[in-house]
Amino acid sequence: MSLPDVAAVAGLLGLLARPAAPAAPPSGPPAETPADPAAHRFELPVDVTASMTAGWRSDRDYGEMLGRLNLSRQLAPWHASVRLDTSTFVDAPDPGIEDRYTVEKASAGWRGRSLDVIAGDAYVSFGRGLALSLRKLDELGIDTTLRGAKLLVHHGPAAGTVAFGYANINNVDEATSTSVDDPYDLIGGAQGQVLVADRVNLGAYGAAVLFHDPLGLVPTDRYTDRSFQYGVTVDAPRATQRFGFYLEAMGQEVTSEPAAQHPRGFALYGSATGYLGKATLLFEGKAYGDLTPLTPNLGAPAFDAVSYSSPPTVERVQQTIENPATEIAGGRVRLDWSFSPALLAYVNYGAFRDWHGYSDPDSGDIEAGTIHDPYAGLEARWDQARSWAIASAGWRVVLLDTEGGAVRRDGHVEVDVSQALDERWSITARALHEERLVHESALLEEDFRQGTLSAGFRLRPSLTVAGGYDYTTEPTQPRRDYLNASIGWDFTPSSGLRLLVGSARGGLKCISGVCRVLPPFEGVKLSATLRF
Amino acid sequence: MSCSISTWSSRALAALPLALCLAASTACGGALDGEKPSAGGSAGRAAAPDFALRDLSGRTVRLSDHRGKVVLVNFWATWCVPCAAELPHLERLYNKYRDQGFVVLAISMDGPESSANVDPHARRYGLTFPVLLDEETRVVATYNPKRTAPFTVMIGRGGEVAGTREGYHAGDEIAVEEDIRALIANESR
Repeated sequence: MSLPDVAAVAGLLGLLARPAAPAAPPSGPPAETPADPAAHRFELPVDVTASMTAGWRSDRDYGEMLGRLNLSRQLAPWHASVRLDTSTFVDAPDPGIEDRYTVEKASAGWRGRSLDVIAGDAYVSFGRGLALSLRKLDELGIDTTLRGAKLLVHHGPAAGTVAFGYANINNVDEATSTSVDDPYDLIGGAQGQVLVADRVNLGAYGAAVLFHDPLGLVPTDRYTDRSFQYGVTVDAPRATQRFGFYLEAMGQEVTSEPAAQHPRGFALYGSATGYLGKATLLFEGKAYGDLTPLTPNLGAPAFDAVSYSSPPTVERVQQTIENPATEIAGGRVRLDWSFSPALLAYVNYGAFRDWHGYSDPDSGDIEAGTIHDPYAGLEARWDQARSWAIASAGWRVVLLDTEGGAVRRDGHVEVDVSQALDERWSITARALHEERLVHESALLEEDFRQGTLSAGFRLRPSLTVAGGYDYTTEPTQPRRDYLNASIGWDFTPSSGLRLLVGSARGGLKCISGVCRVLPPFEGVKLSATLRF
Repeated sequence: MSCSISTWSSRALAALPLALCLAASTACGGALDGEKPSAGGSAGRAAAPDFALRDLSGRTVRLSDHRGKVVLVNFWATWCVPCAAELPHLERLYNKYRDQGFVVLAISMDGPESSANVDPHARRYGLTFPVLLDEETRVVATYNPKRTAPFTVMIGRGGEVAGTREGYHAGDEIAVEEDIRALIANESR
């Protein structure tokens, strides 16, 4: 997009139209009086959320300034928004790190009571994300939209969605400062739902993904690799007063050059919830066979986590998972118990059979594994719920049939505590410790631990001061100990400055089955967030 | 879509967000978002974009269904510790002020892969206000593009955004209650 185009978008948003013409509410507010200070103040014609991070990375000796400017304008029933991203680097060491100025997202649309039309960037998700899930996952730097058109229709008990376009990803990875172009994969699909007997939503969907230049060897406009997903859903969150359930079945057909090893795949997912007074019981299960991941070929490891689908893992959101969606079946049961409003607890046990397999440390053969994943948590509140402690702990193991011993072990303990001292002062502390064993052969056995300890205080409404200590014995990490300190100043409840000095560990980070290796950080970083 | 500008002079563009922010914050003075709702109600404030999301019972809930009420829209997630600390306070405030035209709409930011956890969470905290699912992150992208959790948007009876609040620390519920009371009092005059 050229700069004149940017100006055109800004014009659409009303940036160039002054004075502001506030969107008038349709009814009711009392008339302004000349004495009212609000009547005299300047109001921007758009909603603005801007964030800027400026810093110096002393571990890699370069400076960076990253900006995100979100502008949106609502003039019912019309709406428009645009996000401008800027990335500027000083003394960047890597050819993959380059200045970049991007119209990252742009959309305009019309929203009525039964019809919603969006042109430009839109998030799309069908079912529970098995077939299609284009959305934001900021913890991993992912923000993928469908740039094209999206139509949503509601009419009585029926609803439908049609969307098509190409994939628009976050082009700059803030953790590594590297950037790539959009993959230009074509995506389209439709989903329909109908509410039956005022209790059960029946749905069906179909979605196609055409991957652009998947081999990356010769520039081509051909879309040789294709995947088509189709499925049905049954959603009855309140089937009875004490019971609800969700079921989804999906099939996948893949064509590619060379021919795909598994041209057909399937997925079954279900959950059931029972409400028993103080107790809530959740069953969740999955069976995934030969699913082909819907991941673009971006040619940069920092973007490996970008995907167009996210099948439910049925495990902890933060759990490190090596094989979330191929030849795996199992489930979990979770019991939540409310002893009182001030004391809550839960226990969870998950068991999965993973045919994708793990290397047998003795023979080197790939063998099926069985996963056992028990964990539990506790929440306590006091001082009229103004002070709290929230803790959880778990121990996940993967066992092979043949060897009998554990080839993976993941343990975690996490505690968050906050104590209010009075109406203005409070102190907080957090501790996270993780143990991980990866046993793949007699020569390769990694047994390491990592964690974070932090503590700080808050002086309402503006000041936050904290210090942190990270540790890790993971072999790939350059250091074992990391120290940092931060100070924050909120000049409104939603706008403020943060200064971070020191270092923080990197390593593998997983969110809902999507994992990526984040680099460690050392240096100084000043972040500003402004909303108005 | 992206465009790359390689000339050094173009680096000035990098400062665009910050420059705009600083200029606007200077120009706006006290109009920076998040200030306490003040007398004068909705005049001059942006209209809150309408949205339609499904609640935990499968029914569609629209923001415009609550026009005429003071609405607190809270973005939260099952994996967010400060959200767990804040939700009981929102329940208390909802019960205290619902008869005066106040409603809470709690929008879960859990994705489709973890949305099965949302209903048990809501039950665990005994939430009686509408809890909505935004699995596509469509509404969160409109109101909370930084995807902060928790994040609160106060909406006046006229449908205007009266203020926003990021995060939760002990004692913030006092300021939230002051905001609610100010909006109820100002706009029922």
